[in-house]
Amino acid sequence: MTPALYRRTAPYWLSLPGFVLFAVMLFVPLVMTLLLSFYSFDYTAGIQTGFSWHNYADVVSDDYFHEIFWRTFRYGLIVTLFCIVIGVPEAYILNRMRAPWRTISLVAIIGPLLISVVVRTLGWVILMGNNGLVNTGLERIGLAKIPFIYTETGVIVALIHVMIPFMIISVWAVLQKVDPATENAAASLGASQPKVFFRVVVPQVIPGILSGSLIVFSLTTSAFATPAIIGGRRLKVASTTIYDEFLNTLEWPLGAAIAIILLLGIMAVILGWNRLIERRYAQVFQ
Amino acid sequence: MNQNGPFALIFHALFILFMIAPLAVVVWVSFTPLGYIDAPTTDWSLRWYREIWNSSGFIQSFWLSLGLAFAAATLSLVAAVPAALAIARYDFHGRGFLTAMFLSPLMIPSVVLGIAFLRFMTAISITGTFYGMVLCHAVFVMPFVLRLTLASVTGMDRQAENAAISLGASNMTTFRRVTFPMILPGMVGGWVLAFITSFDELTVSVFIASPSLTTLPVRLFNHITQTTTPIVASVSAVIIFLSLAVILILERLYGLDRLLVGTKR
Amino acid sequence: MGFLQLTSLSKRFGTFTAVEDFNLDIEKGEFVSLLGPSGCGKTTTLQMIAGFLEPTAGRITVEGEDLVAIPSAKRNIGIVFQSYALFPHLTVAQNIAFGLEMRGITAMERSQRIARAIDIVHLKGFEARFPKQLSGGQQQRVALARAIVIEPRILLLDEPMSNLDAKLREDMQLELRQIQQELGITTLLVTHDQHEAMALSDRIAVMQGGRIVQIGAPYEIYENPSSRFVSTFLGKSNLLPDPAQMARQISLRPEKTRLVPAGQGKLQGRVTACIFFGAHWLYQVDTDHGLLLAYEQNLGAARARNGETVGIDWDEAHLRHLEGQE
Repeated sequence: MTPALYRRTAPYWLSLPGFVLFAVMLFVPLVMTLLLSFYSFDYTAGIQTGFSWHNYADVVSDDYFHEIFWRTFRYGLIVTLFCIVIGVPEAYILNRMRAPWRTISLVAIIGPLLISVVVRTLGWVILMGNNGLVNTGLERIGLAKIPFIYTETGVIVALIHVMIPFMIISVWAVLQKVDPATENAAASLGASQPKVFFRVVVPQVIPGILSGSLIVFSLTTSAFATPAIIGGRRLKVASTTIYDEFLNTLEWPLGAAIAIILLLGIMAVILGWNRLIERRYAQVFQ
Repeated sequence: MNQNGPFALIFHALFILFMIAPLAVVVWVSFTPLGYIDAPTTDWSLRWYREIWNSSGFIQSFWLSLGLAFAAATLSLVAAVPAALAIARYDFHGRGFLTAMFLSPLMIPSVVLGIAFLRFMTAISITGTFYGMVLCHAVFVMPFVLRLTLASVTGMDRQAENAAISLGASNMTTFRRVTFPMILPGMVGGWVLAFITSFDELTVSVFIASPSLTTLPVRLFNHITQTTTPIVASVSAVIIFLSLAVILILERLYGLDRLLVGTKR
Repeated sequence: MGFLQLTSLSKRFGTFTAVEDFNLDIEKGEFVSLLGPSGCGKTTTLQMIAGFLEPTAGRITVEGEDLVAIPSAKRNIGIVFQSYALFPHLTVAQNIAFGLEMRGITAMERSQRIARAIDIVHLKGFEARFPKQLSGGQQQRVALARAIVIEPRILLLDEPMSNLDAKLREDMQLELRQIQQELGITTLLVTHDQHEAMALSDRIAVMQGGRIVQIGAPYEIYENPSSRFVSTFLGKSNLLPDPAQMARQISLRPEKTRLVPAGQGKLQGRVTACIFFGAHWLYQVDTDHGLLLAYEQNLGAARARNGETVGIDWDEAHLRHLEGQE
């Protein structure tokens, strides 16, 4: 092979192993799932190949699924909102901490990302469950229990706990590039601490908030473990519904249709959001 | 000026409490001698840790998850390193597409990946095989490996390679003696992150696991959705201890912020 | 015939010409600088000599031997990079040893030569440190030691001082010049810093737009700039119209002027700024020919204040007629 030809073809050889892995293990499975969503299911005959929109029609026309998708979307919005409200100030505070507190806080905040979501959700069950530590304690001193398990509030609180590190990471990454002198400048011009935060810091970290929001929203709407464990069957979301269709009722085609709708919905949000960020912030924050 | 006020510190303390509390109670409860969820105050016991040892299921799942994470992270790394070199160093047709493709598992909901893998594995009859699971896990940990490897390839001073060549090193020697050691930290970081991600993963595994091949998170999940006996706490506590050890090592070696946030201090 | 010869060297990137018809002869042991603003083609020239870029046309020879045909790994050229390009995973000693290992030199001889190189750059006691544990100046010394230990035929320096602070830079320049003369190594420096080029070089080649516009000893070029570009890039210059030829200009160095009482001298003007630099005073004077600069040696307090009218005088012998407009 001539050097020129080698240089031209090298990137393709180099990325071939990854490409093959993804073509076989991601592209093909996704296409098969898309096809599956057009098949039909019969309790006696099983999965029937064919092409029909009726799974999608079922989802679109049934109030049961409307409620599930609306709940999924609602969780996404509320959790994102709380992650912004709590996560942005926390990232700011974290950024101003000094060693060793900064490292300790960082381990406490980002560390849980490296611990299984199942374990973290179990923590909430043990803490706030009907027979959990808080409610047993309340009962012992004669007070009413706080409902948490199988409530939307419970799911949302646990989801915030799972998602908020992502928001803090995104905002913090941007905060590191913010010139701390801008805060001193604002203060020297007479701005109070809250004014400095809201008028000088927050506007500069908006790109971080936007990308953090996108991550939190898409991970919340596709979350499985937390809604499954705390929400249970009564408070189904898209992913727990898909799980039930696949592993309990075995209605794979319907489950696949729900999955495709979820996937397209999240993709639409991601692409729309990116478009928005690019248009609004591309020139300013390069 | 650039110091946290008392209000900020109270907020911070409450937030840390919020983050730690659910994990702390898991560890606390795991030491109960009783047969139900309870926080021991006077009587502490290792009963539920012995119980893990007695129930072979959890031990088996632990080894499976460990082996799976090891194999998936390694396979992913083997595919990611050359791809990262191609993406970082060459301007070629399809470069943007490849990058987007390798990072796409981050955007696809895990549950969708899970059913897609299940569908595919059933179709070619590799459900319930270890190798099938490794391939699936290798795909969704790829973004983590690629991101860190890519960052270290693009972040490396290419003049160092020119320096090696000017000192008489061949291309092969330059890669072996200069390029490889310089991107090694990024590769190791990516591998560890991929390992942890695979080890912790529930949503994909719940679909592709089989009764004989149940990963630790899946077994734990199945247990929790049925009953909440303190054994889930002791298993979880073990996971927390192990994760904590890894977290502290990573913090020491790389700094968590550099690894997860991607910024330098 | 020169030791290193660059003949009709050109480099084009697509339609952009980085270096064009470049000719340069360097004697053995000579220190030559390529001086010019960024984008003038000086780094491209260096990279072609190093072998990181292939010339579009022209020849590069060392002692008559064609370099272009030789891969860069075999050229035996020492390079000090702008970023130093030290190997971060190797210690100081291992960095310096790298080139010797590539040459298959025995461990015994290696350690002797490393010790000598470390001695030359004054880094004794730092052998086991990693680059990260060194200051910028120390890193630069390692880069220099690594380049000279292989006893290269030519030493290339790519903006080696640009990452050092001003004080350190001056010290390093003195040291570098000493080392270069001691070793008698043929050296080519690429820089945009006129002071650096003047302090170090036997000859300076001023580059503009991919070509050499003037070449010569530092004093010679400074005193006799051929063009407006050279006269303003190398030091400061007052540009006056040439009474003989309207399109041409005359250069007058600020230090060759004298402030005289109003009404005397060759030009009259009003002082618009007076700045003290320690060794000298700088006056900016608004005249019929625009703003002129005048340096006065610090022999006492300022001779004129802002707003004062003064005369400016000079010897005709210090006027330099420039070629063309540029």
